[in-house]
Amino acid sequence: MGRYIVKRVAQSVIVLLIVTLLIFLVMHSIPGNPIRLYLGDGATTEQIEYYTEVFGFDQPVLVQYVKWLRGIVTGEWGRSICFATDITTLLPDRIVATLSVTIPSLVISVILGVLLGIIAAVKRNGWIDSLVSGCANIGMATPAFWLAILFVYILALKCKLLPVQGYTPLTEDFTLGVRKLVMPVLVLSLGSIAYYARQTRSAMLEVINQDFIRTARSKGLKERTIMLVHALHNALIPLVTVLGMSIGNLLGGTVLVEQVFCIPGIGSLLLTAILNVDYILVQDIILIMSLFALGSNLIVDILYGYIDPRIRVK
Amino acid sequence: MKRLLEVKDLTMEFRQRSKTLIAANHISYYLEEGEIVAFVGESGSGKSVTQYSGLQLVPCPPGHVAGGEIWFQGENILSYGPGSEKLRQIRGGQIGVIFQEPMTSLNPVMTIGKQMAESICLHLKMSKKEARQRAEELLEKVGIPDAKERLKAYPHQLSGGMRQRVMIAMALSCNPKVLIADEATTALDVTTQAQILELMKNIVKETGTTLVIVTHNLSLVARYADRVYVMYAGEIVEAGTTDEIFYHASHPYTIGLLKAIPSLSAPREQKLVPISGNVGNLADRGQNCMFLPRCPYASKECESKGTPQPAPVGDSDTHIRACHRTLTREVLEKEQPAPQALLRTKKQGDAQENQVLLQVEDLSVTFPIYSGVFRKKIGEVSAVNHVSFQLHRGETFGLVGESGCGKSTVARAIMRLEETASGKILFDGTDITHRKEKELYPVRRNMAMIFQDPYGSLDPRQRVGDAVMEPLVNFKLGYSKKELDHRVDELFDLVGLDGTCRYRLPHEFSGGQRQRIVIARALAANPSMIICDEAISALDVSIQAQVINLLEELKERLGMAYLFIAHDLSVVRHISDRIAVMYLGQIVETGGWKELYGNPRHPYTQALLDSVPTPNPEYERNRSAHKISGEVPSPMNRPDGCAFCTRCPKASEKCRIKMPAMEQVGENHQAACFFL
Repeated sequence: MGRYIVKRVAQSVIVLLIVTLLIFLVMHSIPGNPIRLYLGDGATTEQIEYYTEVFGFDQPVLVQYVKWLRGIVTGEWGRSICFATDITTLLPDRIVATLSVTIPSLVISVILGVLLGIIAAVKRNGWIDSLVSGCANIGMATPAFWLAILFVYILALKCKLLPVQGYTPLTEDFTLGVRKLVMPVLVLSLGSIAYYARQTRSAMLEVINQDFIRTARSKGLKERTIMLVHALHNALIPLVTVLGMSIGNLLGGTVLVEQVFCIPGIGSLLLTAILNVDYILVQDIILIMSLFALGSNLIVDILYGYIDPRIRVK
Repeated sequence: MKRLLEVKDLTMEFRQRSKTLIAANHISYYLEEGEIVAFVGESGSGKSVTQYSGLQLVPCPPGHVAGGEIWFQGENILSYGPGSEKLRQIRGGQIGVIFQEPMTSLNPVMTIGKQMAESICLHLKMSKKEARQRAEELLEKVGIPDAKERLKAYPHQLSGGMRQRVMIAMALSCNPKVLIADEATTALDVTTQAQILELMKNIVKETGTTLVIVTHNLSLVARYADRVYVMYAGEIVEAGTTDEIFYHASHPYTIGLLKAIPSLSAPREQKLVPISGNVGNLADRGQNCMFLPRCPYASKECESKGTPQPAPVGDSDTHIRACHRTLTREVLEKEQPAPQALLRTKKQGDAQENQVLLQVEDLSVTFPIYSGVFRKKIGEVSAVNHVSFQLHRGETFGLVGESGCGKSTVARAIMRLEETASGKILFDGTDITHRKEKELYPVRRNMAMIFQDPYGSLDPRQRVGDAVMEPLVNFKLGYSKKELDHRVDELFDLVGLDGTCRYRLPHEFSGGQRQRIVIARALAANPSMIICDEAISALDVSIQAQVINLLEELKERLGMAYLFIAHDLSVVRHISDRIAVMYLGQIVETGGWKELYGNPRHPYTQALLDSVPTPNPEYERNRSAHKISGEVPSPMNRPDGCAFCTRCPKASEKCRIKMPAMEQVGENHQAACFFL
């Protein structure tokens, strides 16, 4: 197992290098000069030249890339131009803001989605199945921003139950923070609950029709044991793949919701950074997101081994 | 003896959207304590459904018990609610089931030990530790070596035979009164099949359990069953003691089944007697006997008297039969269709016969084993190991062996679907071993292949006429549109199908009809060689005989050569001129059919022949238990020396060190063994 993990980590590092290099090249080929954008129209040529030199943008692209890499390793993550601060001070709060929306949402959607999926599969073709499948289809087809507007209109403006938008760190004011998070989490969850329900249902149905379920019945086991022990364990295998993708999306998949609810998360930060051609900031955010995605892939692959003994042998 | 289980008038339906399929139609039967009862019938005869209905293992919906009672230990078990406590006590606790597919019938993500302990804890109220102890004992009892270690194994780590042993141990674990073996040995090799059946027989005789053997193979039960029920289209058409069924069969279907099986002793010059036609539509039974359209003994009264009811035959109290006619021995002899002689015009020694069409010299095929991130090659498994043989024009060459012996790999290598590691393949004088695909093209039209699964080998969305036409177009044979149409009609006619069905899709045909279409496709470009890779093993006995006859007729008319690959020794004997027996990638014995079957010299050939069940209860009962033990080793750890030495009763020190070479043991007969 240890050897396997080392190998996978080595592979991940190679992927990271390729991803960041590509982003670096793409960013530098986009028209627009971050210094000019930052200084505004009134800037003199000397000012622009001075700052260009300070940020090292006068050097060849590859040299800049290597410098950036060296910085990452030594902990010097560089400075953002448009925010005019060190990136290391900027990122943690943003990440926390995003995760405080996405993690509760993931937990809710996995638990609810899998549960609904199991129920729908066990009672297949019954009214519960029709209801769950129907709702799942509607849930998947509903655009998140429309749902967000609807929620704001009903829950915040009409019923005055929740604040309209904004973000307060939970450490500052827990109750207010939670109240502000309810709507974004809901909006983000509904689609993925539907997705998990559908995936679970089809995975379970596939397993339920297999021979070993009949064997389990022929042994006299309770239907509940058959479903929760024999069927679910096998259905988990495809579900773990889906889960892996969701974990990878924890940082990157919330740009829209962050914009609508004015949450200062990493998604909106990335958007700002791209619009301002803030090379280093974009680079650092992409690095963090890729790290997250690769890490979750690794965890999923290790999980596979635990769930499916047929993979473990190799 | 006391009746342990009695089924009365059971009817089982499958409700589909627009119609209701009656899978079991007013079935009555009984089981006595400690006896072995066989249910025999072809696919769709309702034999499994009948067994599962009592345990409510038939998926519901669409399955549905429409009537009848099943009495077991004084209670009607059909009255138990689905999933009720009482029903679950019967399942596994009183009645154990062994299913057909050992590969899929065990949960792949649970250890053997856990799966076994589950039901032991449930029914025998044992603690987990006691249950493991019992599981270990049971595994030992069913002949699994290293039982304690095996408890921790997952199903994929065991071979098919081993898994089926585990299934038996599991079904037996709670001392059931009845054990149902549903096609339990069908997926296994002959030698393993014999071992498993022998094991089941010994265990049930020792514990007094009633064993129900459900199978499509009539000869299989001659050795084991006390009584036999023959089923056709959801009805029991005949029942009786094993002797009554095999020696005094009096229902036309039973008689047909017995005749359709090629046997190891029947004269080879006769055509097989197939049961014509296909099983009727279960959704639309009509008023008459279901077997009427296929029955060679049908008379006027059969058409007017409705569905026949089971009635006693003579004064026997065990023998019953559902037929309007009284088919006594005299009637049978008078009316039986005379067996047709096979025209085997080409005698051995014909000029054409001696012309070599395909020559395989020292052929080896290896598969690489990869490992690691970069998929580095770390070794090789050799699937085929120095195989040599010749196929003459117009000849049928049989290649037999158990699964994994490399016979299909040989076929694939000849078709160049697999790369050859060493050796040579000469087709019609040209070396095709390493020919480029482009240069191979003209050669390809002269070889065709028929695969095992008629369901998988036709494109489900391609009209069957187009499938048959494909080789004609592909090989650019210069047919005009009209000629193409004509040729397709001709081909359909050749294989006994109506040309008008060419616009239909594969799913509209039965298995036997599909195999005919596949044969038509193989014939299309007029090949000089057809490789039949288990071409008939997926078909029902009655259909199998139809297809074998068709293959033989076609060969007679068109004169191509067959490389006939199969695991069924009786079929191979019937169809082949010369035969090679393969074991673990090597040919161990080869010879003319007469020499090989009449005087087998290699211990493996002898063991194989010994394991073939015969439809002769008298002979089977007096035959000693099969000698061969163990299983085919994995090609990954092929034994040094003779490949067969791990299972051979004659093996000595010498066999374990050195591989014996092929030796001439008679005219036209070779074998590779030190003890000839």
